[in-house]
Amino acid sequence: MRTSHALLVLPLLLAPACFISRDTVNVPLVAQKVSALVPGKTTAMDATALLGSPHEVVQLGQRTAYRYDYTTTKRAGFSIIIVSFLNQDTRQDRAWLFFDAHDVLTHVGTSLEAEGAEYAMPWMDQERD
Amino acid sequence: MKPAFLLAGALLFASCVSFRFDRATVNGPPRKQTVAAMAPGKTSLAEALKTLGAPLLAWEWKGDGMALAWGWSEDGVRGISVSVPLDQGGSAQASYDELARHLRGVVLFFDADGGLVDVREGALNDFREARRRRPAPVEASAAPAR
Repeated sequence: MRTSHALLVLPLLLAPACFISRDTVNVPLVAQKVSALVPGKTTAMDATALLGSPHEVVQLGQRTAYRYDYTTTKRAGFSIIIVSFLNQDTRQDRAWLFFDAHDVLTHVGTSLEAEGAEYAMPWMDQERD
Repeated sequence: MKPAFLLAGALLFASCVSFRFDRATVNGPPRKQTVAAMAPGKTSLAEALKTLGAPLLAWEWKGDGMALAWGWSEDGVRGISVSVPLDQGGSAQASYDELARHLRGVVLFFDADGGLVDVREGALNDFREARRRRPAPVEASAAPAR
């Protein structure tokens, strides 16, 4: 009887010390939209009509580059009186669009990894691409 | 009586001293052979973007050239440390630039034709000054009509 009580009390004591949280910045990039961009054809105007305003515009001499990004951070942790464990995993979706001096798309770089962010403990192996 | 003292001590101790076991990872590093395959004079911008994906940062380099940076972090604090919280300030919400400050990575430098010129690895914060440099002015005659 005592053992079963102890087993009930133990989770009650430990559960309040656990937490998970998630932060996101911007909205996820849609792969289909990014793949609709065609180097040599798509213009900067087409790109902004499709993806919205870029989060950063960089001047590269006569050319420009637009950055779109989405960041997600997943945290998991718990503490037992004076010992605490915390794991934080941050992954991003990013797309960089490079335009020539005439605002025509020349190159696209895409990384869609935000979905791979994981809740884990510091000692656990995390999947890496 | 003794256990009560011990428990009270442990609870009070927790408010000023804690043992932390933390790990923070940001993005995933590319495979070593992927970065090693980037060859100045051979690799093009298109190949680099296809192989490494979208960079984290981009900035102007030597006029019409560009520098692209990929960054990641997976070291964190593996082990137990003792900390005394003297001050807790700052925002938990790091900006995109702040995120990049603490990362290690690789920076590829491309010329105006998109050819790879140089490859450097290290802390992305070391390239902060270069990124902050104002872009070169575009000549009025050279700028296309928009």
